[in-house]
Amino acid sequence: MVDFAAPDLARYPRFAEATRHARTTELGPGDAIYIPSLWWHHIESLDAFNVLINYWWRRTPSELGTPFNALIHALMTVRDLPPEERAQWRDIFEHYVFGDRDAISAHIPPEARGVLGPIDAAQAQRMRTFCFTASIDKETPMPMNKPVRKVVIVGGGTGGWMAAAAMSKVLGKVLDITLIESSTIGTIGVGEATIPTLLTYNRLLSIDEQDFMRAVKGTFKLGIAFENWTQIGHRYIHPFGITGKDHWTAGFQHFWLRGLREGHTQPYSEYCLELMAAEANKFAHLPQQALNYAYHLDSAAYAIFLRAMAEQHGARRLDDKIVDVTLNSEDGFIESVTLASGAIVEGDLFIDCSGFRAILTEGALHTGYEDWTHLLPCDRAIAVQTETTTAPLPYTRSIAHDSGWQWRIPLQHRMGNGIVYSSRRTKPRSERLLSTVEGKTLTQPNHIKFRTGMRRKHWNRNCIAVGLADGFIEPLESTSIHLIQRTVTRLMRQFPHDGIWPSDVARVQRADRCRMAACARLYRLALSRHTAHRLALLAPVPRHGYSREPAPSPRPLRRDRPRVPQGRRIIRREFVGCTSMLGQGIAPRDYHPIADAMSPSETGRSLAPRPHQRRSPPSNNSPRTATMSPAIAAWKAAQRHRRLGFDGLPAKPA
Amino acid sequence: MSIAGAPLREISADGAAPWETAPREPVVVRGLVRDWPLVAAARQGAEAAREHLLTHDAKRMLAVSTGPPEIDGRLFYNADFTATNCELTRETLPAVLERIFAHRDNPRPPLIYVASTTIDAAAPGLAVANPPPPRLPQALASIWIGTKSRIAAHQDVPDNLACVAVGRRRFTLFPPEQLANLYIGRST
Repeated sequence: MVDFAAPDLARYPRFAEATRHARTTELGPGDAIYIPSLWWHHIESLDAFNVLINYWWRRTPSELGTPFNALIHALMTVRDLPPEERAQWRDIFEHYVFGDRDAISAHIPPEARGVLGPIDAAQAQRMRTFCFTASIDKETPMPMNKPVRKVVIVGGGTGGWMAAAAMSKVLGKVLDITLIESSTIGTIGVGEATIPTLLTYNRLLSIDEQDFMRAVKGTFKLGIAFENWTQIGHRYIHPFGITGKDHWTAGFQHFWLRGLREGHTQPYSEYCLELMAAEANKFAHLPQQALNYAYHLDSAAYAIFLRAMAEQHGARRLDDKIVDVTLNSEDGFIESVTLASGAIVEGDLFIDCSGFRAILTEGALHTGYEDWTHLLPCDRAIAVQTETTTAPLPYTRSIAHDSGWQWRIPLQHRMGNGIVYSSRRTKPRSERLLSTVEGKTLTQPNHIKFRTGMRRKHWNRNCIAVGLADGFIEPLESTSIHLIQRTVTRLMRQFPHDGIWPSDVARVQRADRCRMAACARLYRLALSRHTAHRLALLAPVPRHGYSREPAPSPRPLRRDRPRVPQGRRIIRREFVGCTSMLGQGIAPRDYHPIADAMSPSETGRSLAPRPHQRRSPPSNNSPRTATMSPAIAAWKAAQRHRRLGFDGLPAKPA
Repeated sequence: MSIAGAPLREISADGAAPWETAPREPVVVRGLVRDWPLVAAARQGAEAAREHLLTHDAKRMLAVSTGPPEIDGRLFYNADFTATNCELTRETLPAVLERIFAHRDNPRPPLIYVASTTIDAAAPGLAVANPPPPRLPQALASIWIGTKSRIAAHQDVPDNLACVAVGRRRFTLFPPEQLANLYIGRST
């Protein structure tokens, strides 16, 4: 701190003593000075242009690390101890660190000396690991941390009641759960299509499927039909099932590709039971859940169904509006919410299910939102309900149009319809929606503005955002309810009953990010580059992907590489990608070598049509017609490139 | 005005390796790297030294601290001790040298300081042309380039051999036990 050019001895009196020990020299070009470890040095460069080259080295082995780290650790752990303990630690350090190494461990057999014995690289690594894990274990909780008993859920849409029902059913005996919703505020309720994971949620809550289906006016769903996506008139189904039989080294698509080379022509899609059932408009409960399915449901009815369950298990419902949120002045945790009636509801943990408004996480905590519109530019939706005119189909329909897409979700008593588009590229599309729906409209068109993206922190202080308050991805792959379910079940698995710890929050934050990004990737997967351009659905797609999340979306199938990146579990499964990509006519040029290990007759047997596959699907794409399926056409085109040496590899004999 | 301590012990360069002798004490070795081409160039003048550096430019970005003339070359904290009094930028070697030389005749130059930059990363050829002195243990070699500067008293955990190549440098050393009398700032 002392300015050597003008030492302020009044302010730094002891510096006078230091100067008595100072040693000075002035060096010119070619001169050198050896400064031993820990000698203090003050350096002045005196000319207009100065260059110095120096060398640093240590005499001790590098695995011993630097004592400087030990100093910092000791400042953290020892300096602020009570005086008596601090003095004891001084003695302990004196003994172990500064004492005679051999004398202090002489009473222990050499092989049992551990940290007291000589330190080699392996021992140093063990000690480093110990310090690292020990410092994590001693993590301090967030300030003002306290056990969590009172849970307050704000908002009673699908998200709010899914959280309330699950938590009250499983943890209702140990938690005090309150849900605040206003009967005067409507819900968005467009999350009416689900994926098979909802069956797990229902099972966790011991929900009887028949009661459930009756209550939510539900229908069974085997997949999603993508219509007009790759080209007008083309259609493929993204089924919930597994296609064909995999080998542990490689997915079924590799064997199917080998079969194509040998003249088998059955489309890939016909090896999927769910897809064939969907095309045939059939459904069955098969033993061992051999048929994967999900539901279409009336989200308002679903909320009512869950509410009854939650209240039965002790959750308290308040029909009121939140007018104010009180934060702790020291740590910014939410202490309570004030209601329009004047009541104050205190809580230890708050779950924000207030939809796009995000009353707690954004309104009170200003968490911030990460916008993904640059990746998925649609920002408007219009929803309308119509009377059903035909028997419900066992799949969700997703129909592309020139600047977005439409959904059609069949329920028992009505059809859910909607349109999604980008406001910057097209005018409101309600006429278009109304002109394409079948059956009489039952509701006024509900205009919804949204911004694709996610909250910067899914868990901020003592507030966890669920559902639309947490983020939004167009429901193209029916993932909204799945995301709610994942958040709720994980919260219950890792319930912060002993307080909110920074490492838990960080872990959840990471997982949540991955999950949202995975859903966004799944969405992008449904769009080949060609489709995206044609529909103007994505921002222009650079050749090598994007640099920002959730961008780096390695497509699970590439024309030039047969291997499939091994992604995370859940929905980013290999077969999901393959069905989607092959459905769009994107086939890789080569396959895994394991497929060549089969003899032609084995290939023939494994690819032979089975009875259920022989049934002709009701619509187009019959396997034996003259028109090739797009996937086969793509494969053949890729093969032609091969024979021409397109990728510089010798062509395989056909 | 500056602190005038007792002169440091000096030894001749011939076969000198003072780091090998115990007890370890600071010592000046006049002319230890007098054979470096960079030193020969510096004796011809700053321009020649600059040319030598530029011959070995590896087109890497260097971290550069720049402070206003008012600080008089003293790298220190800012007024409220929240950061240093310098701004950190990344520039190429030619760009930094250009800026330094623009102030060659300025009596009150700004502080322009490339501190502790690993030579192998910044200009590997320079380390080959100007090799470490004989008998030096395996060491991390760094280069420091700048205008007139004053760097506060500090200590390093490793042993240090500092070789002046261009310009004059004044070193003021204190034994480690002077810690309490030096009013050291915070380093981490």
